[in-house]
Amino acid sequence: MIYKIKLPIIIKKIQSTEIKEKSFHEIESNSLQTKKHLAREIYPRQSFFPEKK
Amino acid sequence: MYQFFKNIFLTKGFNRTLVYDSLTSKIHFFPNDLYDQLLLNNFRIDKKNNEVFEFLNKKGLLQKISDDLVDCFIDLDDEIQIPYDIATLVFELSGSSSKNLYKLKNQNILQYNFIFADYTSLKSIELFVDFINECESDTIELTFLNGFVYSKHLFELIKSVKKIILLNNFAGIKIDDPSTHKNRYLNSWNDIHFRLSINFINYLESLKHHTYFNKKVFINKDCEIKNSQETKEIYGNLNNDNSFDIAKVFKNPTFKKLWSIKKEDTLVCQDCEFRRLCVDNRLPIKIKNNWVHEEECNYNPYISKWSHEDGFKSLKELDIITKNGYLEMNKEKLSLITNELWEG
Repeated sequence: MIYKIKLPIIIKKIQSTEIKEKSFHEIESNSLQTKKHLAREIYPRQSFFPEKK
Repeated sequence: MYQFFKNIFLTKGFNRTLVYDSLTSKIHFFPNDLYDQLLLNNFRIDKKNNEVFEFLNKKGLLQKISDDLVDCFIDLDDEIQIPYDIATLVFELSGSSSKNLYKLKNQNILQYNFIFADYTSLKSIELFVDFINECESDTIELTFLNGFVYSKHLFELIKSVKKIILLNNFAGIKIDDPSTHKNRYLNSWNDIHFRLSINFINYLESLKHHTYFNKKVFINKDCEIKNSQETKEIYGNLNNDNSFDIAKVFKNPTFKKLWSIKKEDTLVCQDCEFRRLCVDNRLPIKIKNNWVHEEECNYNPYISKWSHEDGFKSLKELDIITKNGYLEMNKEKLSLITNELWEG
C-alpha cells in the first residue's frame, strides 16, 4: 500500500523534542568516581521521592 | 519493504506517539496521524513513500525485509517476571531500625535504598556497613536527606565496598569520598528525571503493574512496615518479631492493592505518551471504574508541555476535570490552545 501523509507543521514541532537517557543521568563529577550514566543498571528507577515541605 | 525493528515500541498519546528504542534507550515522537496510517498497513513501510520512509529511517527505526521473511520476526513478549519477592526495599536508617537490619538477611530482595537523615546515628551507620558487606544485593542505593551529618564517616566506612553504590543527594551535602573504586554513581535529578525512567525493565513492567508501588516495601525509622512512604497502612513492625518474614506481610490482602494499577487504567495518564516509561509516586484513588490522582502531574499530555517549559498550563487552567470517574474537557478549546502554543 502506498500512501502519502502531510505532517502538519504543528505536529512536526511537537515531535521535535527528543530526550535521551544520557541527559537524565549526566553525572556531576566532584570527588566521586563517576562515569556517565548507567548507574541504575539492575532495577532502574526512582524508588524514593523526598516528601514535599 | 521495511518494518520497525522489533526492539522499537510505540505508545500513542493524546497529541503524539512516543517511539521507544529499547536498545539505545532513546525516545522519539511522531504524529498520531502517522501512527494511524502505519497501523492500517500493519506497521510496514514501502520505500516509495519517501516522506514517511525518510523520516523514520533517519532515526534508525527501520529494517529492510523481503516479503519471504516478513513473518519470521515475531514481536517480543512484552511481559516481565521479576524473580524476587521485593524489587526494592526502602529503609529509613535510624538507631532503632538499624538494630533490626539483620532480620532482612534471608529475604529475597533485589536491591535496597537506604535513607540517611537527621535520625541516622553513627552506630546505625556501622550496623548498615556490616549489613551491606554481607547481603547478596549487587546494588545499594543511598539517599541523603536534610539533617544527615555523618557523610564523611559513612564514606570512610564504605570506601572498600565493591558493590554498585547509587547516590541520591537531596540534602545537597558535600560528599568527600576517599574510595578509589569506580563503582559510585551520583544520580542527578530534576523534574523530568524524577518522573521518567527510560529503560526496558520499566517499559515491560508498566504493562501490568504500577512501576512505583509494585514489589516495593518501605520500612520507616520506627520500624513500621508499609508498601511505600506515601501509603498510610502499616503492616507490622520489625521490632515486634525475632524474625522478618515478608510472606506474612504479603498475606494481608490489602498490601498489594496498588501493585497492579496500570497507567492505562488511570485518567489523564492513559492519554499520556510517556505512560509506559513513567514512575509516579502519587497515590491513585478509585472513582467508579477509573483511577485518578488528586495532585496533577508535572507533564500535561493534552498540550505536550512539562511544567518548567514556556507555555505550560495545568489541567485546571485548561478546565480539564475529572468528575464522577470520567474526564471532561473542551476539545475544541484545547485544540486552539495547543495550536497557539506550538505554532510559529
